[in-house]
Amino acid sequence: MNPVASAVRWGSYLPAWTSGGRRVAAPDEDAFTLAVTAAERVFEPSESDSAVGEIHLVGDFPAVVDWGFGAFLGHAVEVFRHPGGVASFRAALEAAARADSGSTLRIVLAAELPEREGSAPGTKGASIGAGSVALRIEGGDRAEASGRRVPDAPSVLDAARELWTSRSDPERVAWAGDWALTGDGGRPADLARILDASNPPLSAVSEGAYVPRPRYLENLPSRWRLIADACDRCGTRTFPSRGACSNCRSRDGLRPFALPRDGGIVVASTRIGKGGQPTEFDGQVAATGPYGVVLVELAPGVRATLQVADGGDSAVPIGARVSTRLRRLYPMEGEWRYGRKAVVLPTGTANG
Amino acid sequence: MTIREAGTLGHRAAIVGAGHTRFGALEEGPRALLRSAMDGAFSSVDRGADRSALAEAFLATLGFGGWQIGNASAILGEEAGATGVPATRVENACASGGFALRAGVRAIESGASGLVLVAGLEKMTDVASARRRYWLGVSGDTEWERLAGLTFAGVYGLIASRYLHEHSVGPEALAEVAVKNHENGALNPNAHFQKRISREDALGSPRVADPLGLYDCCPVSDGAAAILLAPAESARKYTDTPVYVDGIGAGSDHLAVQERPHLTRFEATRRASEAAFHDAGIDRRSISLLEVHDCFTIAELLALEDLGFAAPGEAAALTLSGATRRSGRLPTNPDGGLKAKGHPIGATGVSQLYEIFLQLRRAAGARQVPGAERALAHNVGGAGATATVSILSAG
Repeated sequence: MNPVASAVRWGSYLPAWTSGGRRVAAPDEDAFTLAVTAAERVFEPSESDSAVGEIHLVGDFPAVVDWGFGAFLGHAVEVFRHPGGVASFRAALEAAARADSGSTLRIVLAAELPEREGSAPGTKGASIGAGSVALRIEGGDRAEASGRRVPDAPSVLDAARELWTSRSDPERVAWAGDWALTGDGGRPADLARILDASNPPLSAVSEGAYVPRPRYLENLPSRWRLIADACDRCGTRTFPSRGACSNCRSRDGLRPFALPRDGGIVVASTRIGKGGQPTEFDGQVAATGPYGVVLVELAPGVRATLQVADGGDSAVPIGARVSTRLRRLYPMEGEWRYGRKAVVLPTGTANG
Repeated sequence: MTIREAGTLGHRAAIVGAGHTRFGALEEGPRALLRSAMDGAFSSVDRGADRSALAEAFLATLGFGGWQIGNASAILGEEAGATGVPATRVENACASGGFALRAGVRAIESGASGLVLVAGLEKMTDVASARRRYWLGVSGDTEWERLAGLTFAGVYGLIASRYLHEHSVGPEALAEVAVKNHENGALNPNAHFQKRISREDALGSPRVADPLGLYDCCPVSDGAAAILLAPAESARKYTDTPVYVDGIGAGSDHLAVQERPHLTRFEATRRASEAAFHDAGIDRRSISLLEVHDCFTIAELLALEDLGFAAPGEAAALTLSGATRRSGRLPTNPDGGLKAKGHPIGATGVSQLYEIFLQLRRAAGARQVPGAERALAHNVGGAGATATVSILSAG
């Protein structure tokens, strides 16, 4: 065991949209989805059996994080909440590095959405805008992360970038994501419309097709983690997982496994015209217009119907490759429902 | 009364009367629509029928918008003037009517003494618009497809995208289904849309669920239809020209399309079709006309293939050849189909039987298919989760 705790893997995520040269989150994103997306870059679905002991959150997070990370990981996890800001990020890294049990993983997650906080302190001079960063901490019992203290910077994302570029031990750490956390790229968005759509009333009540909260929660392993069942008896892979093989109906010998989050192929594609959406999506369509829906082959013979996130103005072509990401679906009875959506990958990339 | 072994030839039951309201955005409420369709059915019985002698009644309805979801069948007895009759609501979304026919035939085969009423009803246009959009998707998979923002048009849009891709065909065949069914609907005084459209109209209509446009979609309609079934051997007590039910089949499939191995075929229809033809003991070549479930234009192409009248991918060329027009060799949806006649959900499957009752009795007027002897009705629930096929013949 390494006596020095190390951030052995770094991940980052920047939303696809920009305003005034800074990244801004889409209406179906919030601090929770940003953090999960970054976390997925330091933690593979196939690792779902290895325990993450602690999650340290830096920023302003919705209440869903109190239970949502347990559902995301598939096992109980201790969640520590730290306020936003660089000093807090530094404290979170130190706390994660000091964890009593050096054998468990700790993940530090910071998410920033300055555009939704107005003129929040600490964002002045920040260069990136909205985004998230994840650091996977392993080993040790000493308060160090990559061998260097977190520098002073106008935002956590800026600090993380600076820490990364000045790392002392480049061979031992890996990075995945939208690094090196620049605000470059992205697609221009109408910030007023995005902000308007980001905080709809959460009071919507179903008038018909209705997923009661217990059914929503019951389905989270498949909905959030893409858990399917492989049948030992006949070999069929069943998604979503329902406790029985979809082919032979066997209830024994089902092995849960996580489908790949990235690289699925679009096998059918449509785009719901304005006014044709179920009313749960009225607020979204009013703010961001029509959306696509695709049937994606996540693995041979395993398909999922997914809404297209960050989409353009036309239907996604059949054959396109997509990544799946956790997003807000719609508000219902006082809370957001979350699920995976598809993000189209540029040609030639394997993951997002 | 006879109980027939599957696969043996003969008639399972007879339709001796049929009634139908106009389809469209109507003033009448659901009770008045039911009453009107049933009055039509009873008064169409050539030698008269005693309402108090009804043995059994089935009501096909989704209860759209929430109007009387529970126990709606009691209203059927009331409005039929036969309060007290054993009555059952049958609900399999858009296939409710086909499954109600099946229940009615089973009742006859189980020895129901007298007439069995099968009625279908939906009142859709009096529901507030937001609520209507909620209800338009309630028969799809709620926990997965709906949470992805899919509507029914969206599910069929996915299917259409795959069909066009797999078979390398353009949208013209879809447009041709709409053009042909509007042409037939223009001759049907009960149809919601009684006007012709051009292929350009169809191709240029606003996109509802790409690649489907407005003219690829059936309308939201009010309406009711009713038929009266009698045991085959006593049919001539009521009329010299009964229409016989010779075969009936049904099937189901995964509710969500993501769980089906094939997107461009409906296994429920295939199963129902095989069962119905086996049951009737006849060959597809002896079918004179088809009433198929064209809730979206793509659905008519799938139906022609799943029912065995075209090979996979060939329904497009068959349709473009004109074969499915009234004058073609395989007249399909001579009443305008769901596309032009309208689609009051619970009424649709029964409405198909009404059209076949007229056609096989040579009473369809301007839209009569010459020489119609045998017909097939095909009714689908949702995007293929349930389906029925029935085969009928002239007496």
